[in-house]
Amino acid sequence: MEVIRLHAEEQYAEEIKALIKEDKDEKPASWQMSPQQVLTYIMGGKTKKGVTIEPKYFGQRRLVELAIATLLTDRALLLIGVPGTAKSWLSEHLAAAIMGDSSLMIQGTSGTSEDAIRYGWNYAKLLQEGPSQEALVSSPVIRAMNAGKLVRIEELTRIPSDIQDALITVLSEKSLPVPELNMEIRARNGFNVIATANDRDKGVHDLSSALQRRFNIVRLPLPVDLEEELKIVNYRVKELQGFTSAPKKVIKEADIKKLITVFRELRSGQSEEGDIKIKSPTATLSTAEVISAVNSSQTMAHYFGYDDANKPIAESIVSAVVKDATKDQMILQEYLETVMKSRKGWSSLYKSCKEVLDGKG
Amino acid sequence: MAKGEEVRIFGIRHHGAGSSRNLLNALDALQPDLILIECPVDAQMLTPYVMQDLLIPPVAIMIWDKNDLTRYAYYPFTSFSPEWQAMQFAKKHDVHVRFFDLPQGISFVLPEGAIKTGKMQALTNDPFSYMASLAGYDDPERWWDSFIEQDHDGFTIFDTILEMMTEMRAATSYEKSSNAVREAFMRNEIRSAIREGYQKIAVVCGAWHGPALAIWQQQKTAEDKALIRGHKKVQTACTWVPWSYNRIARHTGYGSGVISPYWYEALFEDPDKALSKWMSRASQILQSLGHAVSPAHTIDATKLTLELTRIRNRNRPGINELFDAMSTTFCQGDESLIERMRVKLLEGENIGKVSDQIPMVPLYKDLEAAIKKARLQKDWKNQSLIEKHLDLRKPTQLLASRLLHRMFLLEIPWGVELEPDHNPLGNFHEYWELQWVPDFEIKIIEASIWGNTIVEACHKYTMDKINEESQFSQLGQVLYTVLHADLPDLIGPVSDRIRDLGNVSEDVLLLMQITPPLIWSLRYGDTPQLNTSSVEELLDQLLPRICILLPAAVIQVADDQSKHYFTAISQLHHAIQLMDRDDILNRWMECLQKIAFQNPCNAIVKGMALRFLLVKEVVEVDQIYLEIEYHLSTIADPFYPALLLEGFLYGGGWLLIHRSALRDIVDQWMSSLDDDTFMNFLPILRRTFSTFTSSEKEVIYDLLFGREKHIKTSFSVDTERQEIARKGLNRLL
Repeated sequence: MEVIRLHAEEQYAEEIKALIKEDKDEKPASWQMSPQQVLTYIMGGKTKKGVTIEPKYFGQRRLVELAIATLLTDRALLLIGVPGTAKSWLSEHLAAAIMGDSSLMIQGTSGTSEDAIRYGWNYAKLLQEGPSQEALVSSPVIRAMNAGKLVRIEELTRIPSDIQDALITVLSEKSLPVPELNMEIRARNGFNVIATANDRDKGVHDLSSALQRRFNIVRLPLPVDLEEELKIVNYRVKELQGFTSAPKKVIKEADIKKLITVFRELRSGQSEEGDIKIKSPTATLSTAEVISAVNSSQTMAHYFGYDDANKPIAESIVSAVVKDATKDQMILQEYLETVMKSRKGWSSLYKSCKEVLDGKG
Repeated sequence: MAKGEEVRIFGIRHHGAGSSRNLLNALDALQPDLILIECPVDAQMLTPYVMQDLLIPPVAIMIWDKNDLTRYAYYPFTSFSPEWQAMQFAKKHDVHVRFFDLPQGISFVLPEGAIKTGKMQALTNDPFSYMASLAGYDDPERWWDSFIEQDHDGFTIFDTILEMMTEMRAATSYEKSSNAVREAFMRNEIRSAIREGYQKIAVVCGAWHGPALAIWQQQKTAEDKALIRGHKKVQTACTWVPWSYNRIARHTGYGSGVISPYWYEALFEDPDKALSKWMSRASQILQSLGHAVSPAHTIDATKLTLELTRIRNRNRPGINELFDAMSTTFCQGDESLIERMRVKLLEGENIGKVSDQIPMVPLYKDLEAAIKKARLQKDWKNQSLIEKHLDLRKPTQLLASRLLHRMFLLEIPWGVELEPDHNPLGNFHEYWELQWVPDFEIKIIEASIWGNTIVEACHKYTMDKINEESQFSQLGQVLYTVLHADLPDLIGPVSDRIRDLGNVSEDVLLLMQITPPLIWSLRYGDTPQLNTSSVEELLDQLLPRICILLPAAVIQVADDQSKHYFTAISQLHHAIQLMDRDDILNRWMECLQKIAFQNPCNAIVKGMALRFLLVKEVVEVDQIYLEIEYHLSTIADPFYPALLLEGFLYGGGWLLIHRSALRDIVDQWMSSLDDDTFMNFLPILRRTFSTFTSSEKEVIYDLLFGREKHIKTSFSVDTERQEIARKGLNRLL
C-alpha cells in the first residue's frame, strides 16, 4: 500500500544505515548512532566511505549541536520558534536518527487530555477484569519510557497548562506512578522528550516555571538570509513533489527568489536594501508559507497552463498575505507601490499583483 | 655556550593562561638565576614594587614621554599573564628579574614603533590566535590546551613553539624595521647578562620574537650594535597604575586577543575546575539580575557544556560552548538576557590595586591636593551615592564646585550636578550627586596625558574636544561647565566654536536649548569677575537667529516634539527676562507676536505665546481674547482648542482668577461642548488643570459656582448643560 508520507526513518533508511555502519565513535545508551553521526545526518555531508547525506536542517549548526547535547543530559529538549522554523521537522529527524523511530508522537491541541500524556483504560477489560496491567492503555510517553526511546510532543503550548504539568513527574523522576495498580512505570535508559512550541500564535498556554525548568530551550530563528531560505524552499518543494504527483512545469529559480524576497520583506518590516520601512501584515509569512506558495503556484502553472509565471506567483502572494481583508490589502498595496514598483526587473510581477489585488477589491 | 651557560627562550602568548602554566613548569625545571622579560628597560625601576607585594593585578606599567604627555604606552598584566607569573616566580625563588626590551624612550620616536596597525601587527603580537584559527579553533587558549597535552619535561612545548615560529617568520616575509631594532637590542641584553656571569637565563618573550632571540650567538654583535646605535631617545617616566579586566578585554598594550579575563583566570587557577567556577559565577550574576537560578540549573548547564564540547570534538569547553549552554538552560533561549550577561561575564569588573607607596602620575597628585583643599577627602573613592549641597558663597565649597565641574569636563563624572537650572535666580546653591566608580582611577591616569595639573589637562582636553565635536548641543554643556569650572581662558574658544556651528545649524530647538544655561552663566556667582564678553557676543548672535527661525519652525510640530518646544520656549522666555537687555527683549516679544497670531501654528506653542504676551502686556488684551475665542470655536481639528488652552493656562490658574473676561471665554467654551467631545478632551484638560495649585482651583470653583454669585455670566445655558460643565469642572478641579 502506498502511503502519502513516509516517516523520516523510512524515507532516509539508506542514509541511516550507512551512518550506523560507519560509526566508530562511542554511542550513548540505547542510541543507534553516536552524537557526531546524528549531527552529520541532520546537517548533511558525506560519510567516510562517500555516501552522500542530504542536509535536513539549513540553519545554524550550533543550534543542532545544542539540541543533540541536550538529549544527552537530564533535561528534555524544547524547540521553540515562530511557525515555519522547522521545529517539528528537526524533532522528527532527531528521533529518526537517534532511535530509528519517530512515530512516538503526541500532537498537542487544546483538546489533549491527561490520558493522552499518561495512560487511559480499556473500559471493556476494566469492567471485566478490574484494574490490571492488561486493561491499561499506554500513551506514547509510557511506550517510550518502557522502550527507552524518544517521545515527541508537538505544539506543547497548545495543551492546557494543567495537563502539560502531567509531564513534570515524568521529566524529573523519570517515572510515572499508576496509583490504581499500586505500581510505577520507570523509564529505561535513553528515554527523553523532544517538545516543540511556538510563541507567536494566539491561544498558547505558557509553560509553568516548574515545567520550564525541566527543559533546555533552543530557539530556532527564521532563515537569516535569502540564500538560506532559498535552499530550504528548493529542498522542501522538491521533497513535497515526491509525495504528490509532480507538476512538470517548474517555476524558475529567479521567480522563487522574488517570491521569497516579498515574504521576507513583509515579514521583517523593511526592504532587503534596508532603506524602506514596510508595514507587516497579520499573517506570519514563515518559510512554511513560502513553500506552500511556491507549491501552489507551480501546481497552478502546471494544471492551468499559465505561460507567465508571474500570474500564479501573484495569486499565491495575495492569498498568503491578505488574511484580514481590509487591513492586509492596504498593507500589500502600499508595499507594491513603495517597494515593488520601482524595482528593476519586477514590473511584470508588480502588474500581476496589482491585477489580482484589484480583482479582489 | 662554551662556559656552560644555559639560555632558554620561552615564547609565550601575552595574557595566555595556558602559557603561564607551562612557563611555571619550565621555570621550575630550569631553576634560572636570571629572568629576562620583554618589557622596556626604562621601566626596570618598577620591578621592586612587584617583589614588595605592593600590587594586586590587573595592573599596568605606564610609560610616558616626560616632555610630551600625549606620548604614552601601557603594559597591562593580569594574574594569569606569563610575565606576571614569571615575576612571581622570581619573587618566590629570589631570582633576579630584568626587563630587556628596547627603551620606550626610543620606541616612542622610532619610525613605525609607536603606531601599531594592520594584520601583520596582529600576527606578530599573537601568532597563536592566527594559528588557532588556521586549525579551526575559535579560542586560542583552547588550541593551546590541545597543543600542549604531550608536554613532559616542561621544555618540549617551548622548543616546539620556537620551531613553529621560525617556520612562520620564514613564511611571512614582512618584518617591521622597529622589530629588528628591538630584537637586536634584546639579543645584546642577553649577551651582557652572560658577560655579567649569569649561568641560567630564562628569556620570557612574545613567541614571535623567539627565533630572533635564539640566534643571539650566531648573530654578529657588531651588527646588532650598529642597529641599536644612533636612534633618537626621549626622556621617559613610568609608574604602576591600576588596570581593569574591562580594559584588558577591550584593548591591551600587547594587542593579544584576550576574550574573557575571568575565563582565563579560572583556566589558569585550575583548568579542571574552571567550568564549574564559571557556571557558578554566571548563576550568581543572573540572580543579581533578578532571575531565579538554582544550583540545579548550574549543574544542568555544566553537564550540557560538557556534552556540547564532546559533540564538537573539543578537548575542553570554550567561550562558545559556555554561552550556548547558558542560553538554553539559564535564559530559555532569550538572547537578550544573554547579551546583558555577556559584558559582565566576559569583561568582568575586576579592578587592580596599586599601593600608595608607589609614585603616582603628576595629575593624580595634583588632583589629590585639590581634593584636600576642597575638603572632599571624605567622599573621595566612596562608592555609595552621596547627595551634596554646595553653598558657593563659602570659599571651600566654591572650590569643590569648581573641582567637580573640572572633573566633569575631563569626563570623570564623579559628581553630577542635579538640574542646574532649577532656580536661575538663586545662584549660590548647587546640588550634586557624588558617586565614585573604581574605573575613575584609570580615567584619571588616562587624563594625565593631557597635562600634569587638572587645569592644564582641562585646557588641552577641552581644546581638543571642541574641535572634534560637531554636535553643538554638547558644546552648550561644555561652555556651561567651563564657566562654572572657573577656566576663563576656555570661554573664548568654546564660544567661538559654538558660534561657528550655530551659524550653520537650522535646528532652532537645539539653539533654544543651549541658550538659557549661557544666560544663567552670565549671572552666575562671581562670574562678573570673569571676562564673559565672548559669551555675550555669542548670545547677541544666537538670540536674533532664534527669533528669526522660531516662528516658521512651530507651524507644524509633531506631537512628541511639541513638548520639547514648549519647555525650551518657556525656559528661554524666562531666561531672557533675566538679561536686562531691552533690545533683546523687544525682539523676543516680536517673535512671540508672530507665533501667537500666525495661522496655522502648533496649538500648545501658540497658547503659550499668547499667555506671555498677555502677561507682558505688549498687545491689546482684547486682541488676545479674540484670538483665543476664535480658535476655541474652530471645528477643523477637535483637539486644537484643548491643546491651545493647555499651552495658555499651563501652571497659570491665577490667570483665570484675575481675568474675568478670560474666565468667561473658557467657561462658555466648555459649556458649549457636547458630552462626547467633552469626554474626549477630558485627559488634556485634566492635564492642564492639574498644574494649578489647589488653592487656585478652589478659588476658580468658587468664582464659577460658589458663594460669590456676583460673577455674572454673559450667556445663558440650559440647566442640563450647566450640570455637565459643573460635573466636568468638578472632576477637573
